[in-house]
Amino acid sequence: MVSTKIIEVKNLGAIFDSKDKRLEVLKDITFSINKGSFVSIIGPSGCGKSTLFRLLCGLPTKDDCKIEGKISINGKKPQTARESRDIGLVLQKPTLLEWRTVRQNIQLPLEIMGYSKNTIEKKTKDLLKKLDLEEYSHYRPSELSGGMQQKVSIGRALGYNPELLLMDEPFVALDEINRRRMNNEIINIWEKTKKTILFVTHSIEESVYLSQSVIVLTKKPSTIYKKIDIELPYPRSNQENSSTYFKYIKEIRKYLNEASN
Amino acid sequence: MGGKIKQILIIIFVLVLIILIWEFLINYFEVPKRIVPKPSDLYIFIKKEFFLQHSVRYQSVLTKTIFSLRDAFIGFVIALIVGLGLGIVLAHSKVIYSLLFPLLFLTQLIPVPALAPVIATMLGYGYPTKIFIITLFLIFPISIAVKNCILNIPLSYKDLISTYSIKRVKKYRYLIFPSLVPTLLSQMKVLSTASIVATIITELPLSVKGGIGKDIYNSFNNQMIPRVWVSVILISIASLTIFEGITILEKYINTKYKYGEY
Repeated sequence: MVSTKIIEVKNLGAIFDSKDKRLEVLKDITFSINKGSFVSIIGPSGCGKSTLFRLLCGLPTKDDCKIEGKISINGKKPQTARESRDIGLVLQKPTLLEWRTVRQNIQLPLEIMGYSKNTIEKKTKDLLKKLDLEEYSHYRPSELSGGMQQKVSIGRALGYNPELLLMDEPFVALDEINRRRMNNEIINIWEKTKKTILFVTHSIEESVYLSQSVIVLTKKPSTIYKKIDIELPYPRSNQENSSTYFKYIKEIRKYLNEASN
Repeated sequence: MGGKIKQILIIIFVLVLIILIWEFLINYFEVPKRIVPKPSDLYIFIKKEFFLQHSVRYQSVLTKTIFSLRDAFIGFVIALIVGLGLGIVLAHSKVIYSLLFPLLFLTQLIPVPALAPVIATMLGYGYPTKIFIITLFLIFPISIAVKNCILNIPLSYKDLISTYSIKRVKKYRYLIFPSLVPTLLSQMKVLSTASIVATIITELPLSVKGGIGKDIYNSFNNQMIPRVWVSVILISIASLTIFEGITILEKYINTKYKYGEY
């Protein structure tokens, strides 16, 4: 039977154990995420979201970090999943290369992964069209606004068609209006591509606006405090003033306060 | 454009003024030629050196300068390649860094004239030693600059490339080498002049013939002071021209391609 779970985390723990100090960052974290869903992770500042994010991506952690438990992405270890192109990464900063144009930045993973020239051109053309970036394709990243830069970075992550998009506070640097615009864009992309999105954020409102469910983490040693399913239809722009929408925000705020103490 | 022409005219005016004051002061204080020659003495030497026929065996100041510049260039290229490789190794291994850093640092602490005899006793007083010393003198700054540049690339960029491929060669091709371009260009600028200085100093204790450094030394011993002065001026003009050339190249590449910008 084909599993419907794309992420399965069981009893995950992370301890930084050096000569000088011992710091338990993650403790007994267990959750799973279904394919095609949109899930947000929220937690107090410094609760270990970044460590969890790195572990999910299969990126190396510090030498003194001891990992316990199990992470499975598409039935594989995170590093294997990363190597088999199951994971697309969108970071807090757009991390675009200034010496490449928008088009070339989107092409970067495809070139590295050895796709043929024709495939690269076709995929880039599709992505530029899908993201409304055609007229900016020859711009350098610094010539774009922060929101546009992040859109390019999302396009770059989508280029090689990963099953899972891991997004680490991608819109944190944007103002409210652009942030909402990008929220709508990401929902649009999610609905079009049917990708699974795991979205790390600091914003309660953003998590409610975007996700089907929100995972609330506690302060260090971080563990899962609550998982809340957001049962609101999309587009959420129609729900923003509804009492249910505010109820979810209030509920998550309450949990986040409890989790921070 | 007008500002540039004005700047050049000012420089020419200042140079002419310096030459006139120089000529006047030497005449006025009757300073002997063996101490400081007058510009007119240098002019006479230049006329004789560059515009009169010499025997086939005669090596002009220009020939010797070109000879030294060629060796400086060879040392510079080798130092650039070896320094780049060494910088990469130093950035990736803390153990190698702690082993090699003191040795590399020593090459900067000990002056070339002191280091040259030590190396010459091992490698001989010939051409390979000359190139080796020039290279050794230049390796430290470039390798440290390369190492620092690699370590200063933001982690998020390194992580990102890691998600596309685990092959280190890809990380170098798409991220690290383009990031190194401004550092290498800026190092080339500094090293180009340093390589000329190192070449001239290295020629003194070694028995390699044909270099301008050796010629300056011999001319000085034979009281051919205008020849010494013209040689020094020639070397300075060559250094300045090369430095300016690389500066223009650096500006062009950095402005057009934006390598190493995030």
